[in-house]
Amino acid sequence: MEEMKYEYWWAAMPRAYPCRLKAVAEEAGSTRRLYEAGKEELQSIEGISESYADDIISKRKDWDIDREYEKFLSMGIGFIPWYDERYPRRLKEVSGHPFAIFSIGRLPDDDKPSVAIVGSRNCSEYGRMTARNFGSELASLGVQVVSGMAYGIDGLSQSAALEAGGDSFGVLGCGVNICYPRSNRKLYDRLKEQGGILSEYGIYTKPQGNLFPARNRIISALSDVLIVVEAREVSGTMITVDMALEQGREVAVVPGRITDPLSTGCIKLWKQGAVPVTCAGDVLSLLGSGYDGAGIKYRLPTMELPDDERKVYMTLEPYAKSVGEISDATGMELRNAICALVELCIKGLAGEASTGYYVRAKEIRVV
Amino acid sequence: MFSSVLSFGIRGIEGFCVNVEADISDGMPMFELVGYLSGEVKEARERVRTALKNTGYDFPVKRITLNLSPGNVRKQGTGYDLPMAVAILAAMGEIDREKLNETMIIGELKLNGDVGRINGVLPMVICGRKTGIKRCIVPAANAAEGAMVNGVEIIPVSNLKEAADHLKGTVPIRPYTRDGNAVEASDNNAGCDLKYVRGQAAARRGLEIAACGMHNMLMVGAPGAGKSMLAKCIPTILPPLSDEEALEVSSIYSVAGLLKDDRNLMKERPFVSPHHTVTDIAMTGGGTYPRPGSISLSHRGVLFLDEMPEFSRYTLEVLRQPLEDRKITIARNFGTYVYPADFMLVGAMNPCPCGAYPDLSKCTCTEPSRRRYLNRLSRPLLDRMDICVDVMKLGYDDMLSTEMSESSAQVRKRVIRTQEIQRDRFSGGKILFNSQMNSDEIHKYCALEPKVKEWFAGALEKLDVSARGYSKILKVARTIADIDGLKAIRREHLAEAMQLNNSYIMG
Repeated sequence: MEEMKYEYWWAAMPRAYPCRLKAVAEEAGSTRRLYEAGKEELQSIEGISESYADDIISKRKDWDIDREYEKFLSMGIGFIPWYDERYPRRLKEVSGHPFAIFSIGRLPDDDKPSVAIVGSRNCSEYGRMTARNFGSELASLGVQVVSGMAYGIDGLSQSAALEAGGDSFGVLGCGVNICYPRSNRKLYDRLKEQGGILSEYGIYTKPQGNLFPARNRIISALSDVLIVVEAREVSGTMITVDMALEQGREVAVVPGRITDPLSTGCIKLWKQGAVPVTCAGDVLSLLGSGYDGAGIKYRLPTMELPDDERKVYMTLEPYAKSVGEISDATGMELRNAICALVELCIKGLAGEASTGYYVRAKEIRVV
Repeated sequence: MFSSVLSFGIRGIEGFCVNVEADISDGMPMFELVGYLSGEVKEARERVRTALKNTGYDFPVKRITLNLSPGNVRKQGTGYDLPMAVAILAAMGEIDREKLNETMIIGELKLNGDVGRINGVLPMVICGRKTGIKRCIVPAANAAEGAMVNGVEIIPVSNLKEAADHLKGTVPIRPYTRDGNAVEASDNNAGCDLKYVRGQAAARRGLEIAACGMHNMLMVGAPGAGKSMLAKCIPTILPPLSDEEALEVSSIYSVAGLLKDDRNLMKERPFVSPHHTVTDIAMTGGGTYPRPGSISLSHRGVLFLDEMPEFSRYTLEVLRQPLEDRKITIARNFGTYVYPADFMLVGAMNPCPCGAYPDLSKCTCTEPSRRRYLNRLSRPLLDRMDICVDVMKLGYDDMLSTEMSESSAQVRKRVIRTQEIQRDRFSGGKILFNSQMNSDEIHKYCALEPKVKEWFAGALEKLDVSARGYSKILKVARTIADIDGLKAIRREHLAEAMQLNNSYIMG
């Protein structure tokens, strides 16, 4: 117990290179030694350069080790070092895993299948719809959904998973007690209750651009299959994909239009051998024999619609269309098209993408 | 000897009567002006003395006192020059004081005795008529403007000599009449007509509904989609100004010195489009010596704010109170001024900073930057905009089409009919249009049949509509039902109103 405060110090101190923390601690024998050693002794440990040693010394100077640890304990946040038995198995498997994990809420269950759904923050309506559909269907089939709680695909898939009553885990690039992005507050609060929030960074660590790529390796490590919904060719999502491949995770992509800049990443991955998936069933079969998808048939829900609404629904796409375009395409009078459209919105089948622009919000089979 | 001349000043946009009193008595030669005067009125001393001299009168070497009564109201402007000169002439005995009865005199003097134009002649003459004035001596340049008011003789004078000779009776001037000088009212919206607007069925429909109920409106669309052109068409589909309204609007423009066509009252509704760098004072009116601002210049017409999110937040927020009260009250230490400000607010904005959203193959904005852009319009302001329409970028087939759309005149007929329905409904009340209904009136005039009500309640819950949104939807639905000439609000009216609600922007 006494040693724990040193472990906590080593994990929580703000610092670059989070992947090396565990290796260095092991090399040193104990984190207490790292805290107490002088500069020369530090430099004698393999993996600690002169500047690294200076960095450790300068930062431990303003760190009141007892007070900081007490303060942390009073916050009720989980602290799980790598040797703890609660430490997620999937994470321990990969090289460069975090020295310790901070958590609020639950931790991912090692025995349940787990997927990561990632993609562009600035996604299209098509991406929005697919992320939501995958999130909610996989969650209702008992699959855990891991992602980064970001704008766009990440957050949407997690919200959908929670709404479907499933498990979801958010891995942050900042301290677990900081909600980033702030606009995802609702999701953050719900994750705390219904799922879990994880980070390898100390509490109160502010979100910084350079912390996010390292965070992505945890997302991919915690998943069995990484699903890429929409990604540009150069993007943070592609970093996650690289990490997943290094860690030996299966990568699946959702096909998009070849002309769509938001699909270029997915299509490139597809060409390189990633598996295209179009429904939750496809993902289940990728998850392997333990969770065989053969028994589960993915079926679109069916719904009966009046004539007008059916016509309008058929015209809608995942790409935004204006009311004018919709009325032209259906050949209906503008007013009638608008009425049908509003009815569809009320039924949750259509959504407003921008002022006067509508998309299909849910796939159904119309009878 | 003592004399008194009637003149008028401007307060807000209304005239008030000023007695210009002159007294010439023996004593040390001096020329004193009193009566709570601003700088330009005090300077009249030099103008009056020199103009009298240059017109051929000997300025009396006596003690001259001029008083502008009432003495507790601040006097501004140069319109008191001519009455002061005439009052001195009357006190000198040059002009028979009887001739000054029921006659008002206004005008600025130049050093050579010429009479120059002043602002605000129209409201002064209107006020004069109310106080029983029969004749009105005005600068020749303002004669046509004064003659817009019926029942008052307008005597145009171009210099002090003409005025004096007319009053002496030596060279009488014929009253100015509009008949000989009337010209066709110029169309200040020339070139704007809905028939030139291709496509845009949804935006046109929104525009018509907004015009029918005088609902404030927000247009969202890519740059170059035609938002400004559509907005400029609104005065062409609103009913022309009634005589009473025309007098009111023309008065405001007269006070501001902006009456372009001074031979006719304004017939078309004003369309005011301030640039987004406009200050809050220019928007509301005010300044040390208050002048009407953009919101008063758009009284009974349209205030169009292009690139609305670019306006300073403060300038937009000051609109909130006049949007409720339909007038603006400006307090200065000389007194309180009230300007009317009953306008239809029309805003235009891009869907995102680059303008291409929701076309993601072109849009270069990020989700947060898009939200930030939309959030520049505050919720309370958006709450006051009942209708939000998308203005689409035109397709090539629309551009190349030679088919003319429905013209403004045809749409205007429907608007007039719908506004008449509203006038009958609210007759005796304080309001004229559906957009002005308060919660009591909404409750009274927007009652729903049980079946429709049930559907509406379900829809509101599903779409997560706020209380403000609820009353906006009902008001717009009322207008749509009025366009159809129906007493009861039906489901399709509510559905269309819901589509026009600005729920997306409200986030």
